Amino acid sequence: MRFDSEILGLAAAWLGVGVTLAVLALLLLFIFLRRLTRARWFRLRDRRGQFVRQHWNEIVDGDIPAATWCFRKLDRQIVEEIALDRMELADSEEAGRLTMFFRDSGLLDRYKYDARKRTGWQRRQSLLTLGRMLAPEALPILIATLEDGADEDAVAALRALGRIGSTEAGTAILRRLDRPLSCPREVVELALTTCFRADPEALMSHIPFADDKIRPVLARVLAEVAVAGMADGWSTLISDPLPEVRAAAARTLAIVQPTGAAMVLAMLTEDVEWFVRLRATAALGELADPYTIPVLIERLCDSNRLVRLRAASALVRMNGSGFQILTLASRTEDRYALQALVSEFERSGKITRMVDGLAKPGAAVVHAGLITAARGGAVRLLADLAQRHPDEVVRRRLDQILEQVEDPVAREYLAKLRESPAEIDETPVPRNTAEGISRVLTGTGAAGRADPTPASA
Amino acid sequence: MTAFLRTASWLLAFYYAGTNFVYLILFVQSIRATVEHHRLLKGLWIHRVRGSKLTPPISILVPARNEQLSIVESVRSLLALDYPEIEVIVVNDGSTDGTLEQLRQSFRLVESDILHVSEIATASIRGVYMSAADRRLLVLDKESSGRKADALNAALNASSAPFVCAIDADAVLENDALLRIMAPALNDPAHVVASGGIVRAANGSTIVNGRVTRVRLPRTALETLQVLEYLRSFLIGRQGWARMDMLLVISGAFGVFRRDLCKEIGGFRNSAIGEDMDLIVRLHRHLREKRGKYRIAFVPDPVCWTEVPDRLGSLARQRARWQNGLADVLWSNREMTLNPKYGRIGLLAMPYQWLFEFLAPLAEVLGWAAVLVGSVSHALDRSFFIMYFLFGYLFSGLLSVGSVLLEEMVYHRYNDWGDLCRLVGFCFVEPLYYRPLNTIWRVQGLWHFVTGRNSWQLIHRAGFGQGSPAKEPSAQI
Repeated sequence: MRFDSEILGLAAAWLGVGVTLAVLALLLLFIFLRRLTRARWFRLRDRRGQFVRQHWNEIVDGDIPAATWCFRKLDRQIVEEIALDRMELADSEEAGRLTMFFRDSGLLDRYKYDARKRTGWQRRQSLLTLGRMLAPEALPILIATLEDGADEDAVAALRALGRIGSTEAGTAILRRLDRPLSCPREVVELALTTCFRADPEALMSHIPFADDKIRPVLARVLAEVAVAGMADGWSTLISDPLPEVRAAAARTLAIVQPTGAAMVLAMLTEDVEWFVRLRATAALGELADPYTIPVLIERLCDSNRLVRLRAASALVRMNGSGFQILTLASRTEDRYALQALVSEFERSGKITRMVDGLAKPGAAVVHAGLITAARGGAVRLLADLAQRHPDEVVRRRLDQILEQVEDPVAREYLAKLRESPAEIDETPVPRNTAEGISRVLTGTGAAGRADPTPASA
Repeated sequence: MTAFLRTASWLLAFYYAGTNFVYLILFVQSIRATVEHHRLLKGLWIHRVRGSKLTPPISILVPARNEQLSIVESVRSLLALDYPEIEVIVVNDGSTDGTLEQLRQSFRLVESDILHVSEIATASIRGVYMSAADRRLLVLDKESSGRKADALNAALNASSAPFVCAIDADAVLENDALLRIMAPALNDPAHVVASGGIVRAANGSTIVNGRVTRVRLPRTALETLQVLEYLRSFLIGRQGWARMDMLLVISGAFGVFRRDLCKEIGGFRNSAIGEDMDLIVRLHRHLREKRGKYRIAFVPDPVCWTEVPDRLGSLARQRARWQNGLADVLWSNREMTLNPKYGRIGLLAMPYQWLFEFLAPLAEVLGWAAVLVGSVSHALDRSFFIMYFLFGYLFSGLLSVGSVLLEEMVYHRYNDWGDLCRLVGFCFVEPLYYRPLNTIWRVQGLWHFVTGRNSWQLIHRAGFGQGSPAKEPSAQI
């Protein structure tokens, strides 16, 4: 027994060594041979690629017959890749020419055949390639695969249909969505967005009949493809029981801007769902209608922080109403609301511009507005400007404002600035303001120091 | 004595056969995973993802402690990444050097009054800074708690995107790394909860403006051996485990996670030594307990370049810490082991980690001891021993050559013939020189775990471009 086990063990070890050695030798041989052939293959590919590019027009027009390149795998791959890449960027004339080329050269038929006969990833690849060819003849096979294919094939067909992007393709996708399909939501949205970009009204007609799972998807797509002046149809969406649909309706309204949009959006700002209120508030901001200021001021006091921030950002975009908005916001006696608004004013650079107005006629209104801003949290910025503003009158008036506010932070900050002026740059960079950022980016700020950040950043 | 030696030798032989069998399975799985991934990429049309409004934003979390030499370069390369929407959150974790000052000067940081809500408890935040040069950059200055996990949690609290990407401050990402690492999540957003990328050693390569412009092998043997180890660990180990849905580690140097799930499980565990592995194990645990369908993916081509230690002392400390971290994670999640409730994670992945990772250094030491005692007592069958030693040596070389093959076939980063020959040559040096040393360091790590020594030891770094030591992505198979 002992003898047997020893012999067995030794034999196993010998076998292991032999097999490992053989596999190792094969792997090493493969690595080195592959590297040798790879270099040769790249040289060949570059040469053939150059030839194809030089004779591209003759190939596409058929002056060089397809038979000369389509039976050589490398040549065919190069021609296909170049043609499909060009199709992505082609204008309508060039696209038509390339479609003819796909038909005449037999490439289209080849991929149609592959999409029908092949299985697995080769079939999916063929379906995707048919989509890239943008040929209407591919639609029946793509629609058939979408209807009957396995989930993965159906998703590939869906993406290809999305690439073709016609209303017919979009309608086929909508038909398929009646049944469950295991596909990422983003893929469906992207495909539908491309399909209905040219005809959003066709999509709108489908939304009321879609079930609860699909309706939010369609509503979101509608918000992406909607155009100004689109026909009515959105009105049913604003009273939809699903909050996602109502939110998407708010986005659509901001783009379509029909008569009475502000009123409808004002109603949506009181929705029970915070994200509907958020979308409606953002949409009101897009309208930039001064009559919506009271509604937005109300949203400044919303229970949701994001809604408050969006309302503040919408209010800042209202042209020429800064002081009135600040006054109205201060009347709400909601410190959070005022702080959100003042931060947004600060970020947009409006406060810095208001400060410049202190030296001009009508400074009393500016003075009152800045006191509200200081009470809302803009003390640091005002203290900075009080120290560094080039106009002495402005500096003096800012001092008065800060004294009037009686804020300990402001007093401490001013004292610190005055104690150590050497630590401060000569040119002030307004904190968090668009002006400050643009000044830095254009290199005009902070004593002309070179900005080390690359342009891409 | 002879009976003991005989039993020990059979036990070790089975143990060894088991390890090699698992490695062989991983090798086959990794080849299949590589092929599948390339088919996925072919059909994904990355350029459309890049231009799509529907691509989910990512918050990049960068914990930085005493990184003044490389932080500016790293942040610049992150801001220039090719991805539709990112925010970069750098956490200056109580640095005692000029890390914050470097950032302040280079990116025109201004202190902001933004409210920082610590949903996950962290050490106190001293200040929040926004950049006047790039609004996508946010810098948090916090007190140090001596834990990277704490800094990551602070960044997690400040993040706003649905996905967060944790990376090391000294890491350099390739330009399209985020697009590529997000491929599984974009393809299957309902189920993919985390995705890890490959980490490679940047030593020896040329880095200009935060981009690797020329890939070369490092000059020293120690660094080159680590290159090989990383290749084997990521291309075979991680990829193979991910293919079988049993990936337990996503490197802390580069990984993407769903933010909501990270917060649900309380973020990174503060007391964890290997916080990256700990997070993934807890994610598995949480999702298995919720009985949700999920996937943790590994993507082999989004490359993150990092410096590896070039000094033996630094490397020894790093490896001891990894082993300590592994033991800590396994111990704190020990209820998962062999528990059917956790499916293949509990029944296969965790026992593998205990048996072939946690116990591996002890088994190796036991093997050496058995050989020594056997030779002294003349009980060792020399021909038997030589055959097994040869088999082990060749099999180890085979796995390393396999990873070089995967690299050569698919990724092809080392274009120089000299580099290829050196890499293949080192496949046969590694088992003789590097592996025994690694075993000693791992035993030290286990000792640290037993004695409760788990303090963070800073590793000296020279910064990119000067070819020097570095950091820690876990690199065990």
